[in-house]
Amino acid sequence: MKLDGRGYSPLVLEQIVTAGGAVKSYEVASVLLKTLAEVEVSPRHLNNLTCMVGEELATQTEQRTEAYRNAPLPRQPNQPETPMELATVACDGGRMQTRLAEAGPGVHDAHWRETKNAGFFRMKTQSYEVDPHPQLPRCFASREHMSHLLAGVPEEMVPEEMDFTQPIPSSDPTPDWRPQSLFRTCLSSLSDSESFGLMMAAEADARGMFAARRRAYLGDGQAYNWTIQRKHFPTFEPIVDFIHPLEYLYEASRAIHLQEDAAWNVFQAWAEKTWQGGVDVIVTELRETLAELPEQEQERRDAVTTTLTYLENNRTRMDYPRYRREGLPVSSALIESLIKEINYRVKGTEKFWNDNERGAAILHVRAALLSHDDRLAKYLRQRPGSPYARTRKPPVSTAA
Amino acid sequence: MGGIHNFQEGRKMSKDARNGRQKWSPAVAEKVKELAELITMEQFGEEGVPEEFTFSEIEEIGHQVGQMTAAEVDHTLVDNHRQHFVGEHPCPGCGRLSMCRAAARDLATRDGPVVLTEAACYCPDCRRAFFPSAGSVEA
Repeated sequence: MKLDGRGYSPLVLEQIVTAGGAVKSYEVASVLLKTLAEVEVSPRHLNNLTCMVGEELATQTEQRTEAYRNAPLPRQPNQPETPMELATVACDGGRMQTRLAEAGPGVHDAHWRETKNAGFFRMKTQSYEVDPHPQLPRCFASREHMSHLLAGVPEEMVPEEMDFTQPIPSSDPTPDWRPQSLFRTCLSSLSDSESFGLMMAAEADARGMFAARRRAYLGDGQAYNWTIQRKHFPTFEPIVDFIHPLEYLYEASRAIHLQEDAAWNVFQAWAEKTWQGGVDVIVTELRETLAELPEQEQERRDAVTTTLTYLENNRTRMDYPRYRREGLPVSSALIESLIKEINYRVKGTEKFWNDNERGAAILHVRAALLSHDDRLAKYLRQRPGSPYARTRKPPVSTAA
Repeated sequence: MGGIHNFQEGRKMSKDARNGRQKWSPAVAEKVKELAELITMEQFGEEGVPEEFTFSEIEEIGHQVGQMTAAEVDHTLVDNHRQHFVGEHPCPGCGRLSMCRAAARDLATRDGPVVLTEAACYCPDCRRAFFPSAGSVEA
């Protein structure tokens, strides 16, 4: 009957773990469960059950990854259940606050840990004879809009009454050329990039992404992203998120032009060049500018050098006109959005997770909940039972 | 109450309710109807549901009856399932055969607490009870 030793049926456990991973806190989850599902479980017990299932999900992922690692070479890629026009894999880091585990009540040795997050998207797309959108989108020319993407756009440039939750209205008549996400699964973990890369490859293979017609790997400038891409996703087109070089270009423009308007105008010209695939031109321009900057202006020279290094390292992954023609994505908005969804549960000034498997468990639950394949429910309904001790009485709520 | 369009025609169920009933035989549907009538009579007598009664109060009664029915069905099905586990079963720890007996257990389900009667064995070597219906050993 796949019952374990606890006092909850698998469907109730599903409700408990879903609530524990979906809402801001175990306290809120406990109240919701009582009100909506008539299930009384204390926040502490809810925490224990959510972590227990999270650790089980982590073990399941490890086992699948291990099976992928041990598969005979050359690996035969799994075929996707649904034909895939475009498979996009994107990886990015997030942050969560942790504390020393097993150090007694309270927060001991509070510190931030980087979470590794990856999204796996089945996308709808088409290719074009010519670049479907050669002009820089209007939003990138808006100071107000860019002030939310780039650090350092002065406050006075942003009218106070602007509502940034609303998208910038577009008068652009060009039909939307951007690939559309149809189905998403995701992974989130505290593991290192080497283990996470293999975990990502196993997930992509389980989804049949290696057999997709088009394949793209999106990332920011983090070196580990491209190590993962080279090692595990060599047949995927590596693409640097378009927003990321803009941050560097803005910093360089401010280092070169001390007057804000002049810096903004140069930045705009560079952003347009980048969009149109002219990174080499910017690299030449920056080299010349660097040669002209006085030696004593070390801070300004450093800013330009950093941007130059970034562009030189990533120029092969910044062929945006070709990506648009081939129907590939150029922005990692999807993974950024996914990280926000993960952070909604795990990140907060008042939230401290144990710095061990138990703390990482919430990431596994959250990722399972955010995956479109209903993996949490499927796992809980197939979860192995335990032949040992049963609780005579179901736990009594201690929720306030 | 959109399903009731004519008092003369009697009760007209929503599409969802009709589909729900079609899963079961007419005999089951008839029993459920009888149960509803019995509960109405027991709760409100010949005078029927009072005029001032709210739908929330009606829904609460229905919900309680639903929970009671679910608990009874769960109990009966588990009891029936237990018949697969009569006799002796190997201990998952040492493999020694042990005779099963019935053991009661409380379980929180979506429809409230249910008392289940499971097949339980006791291994004297491991000095431990085990439940063969669990299906597999949890690490």
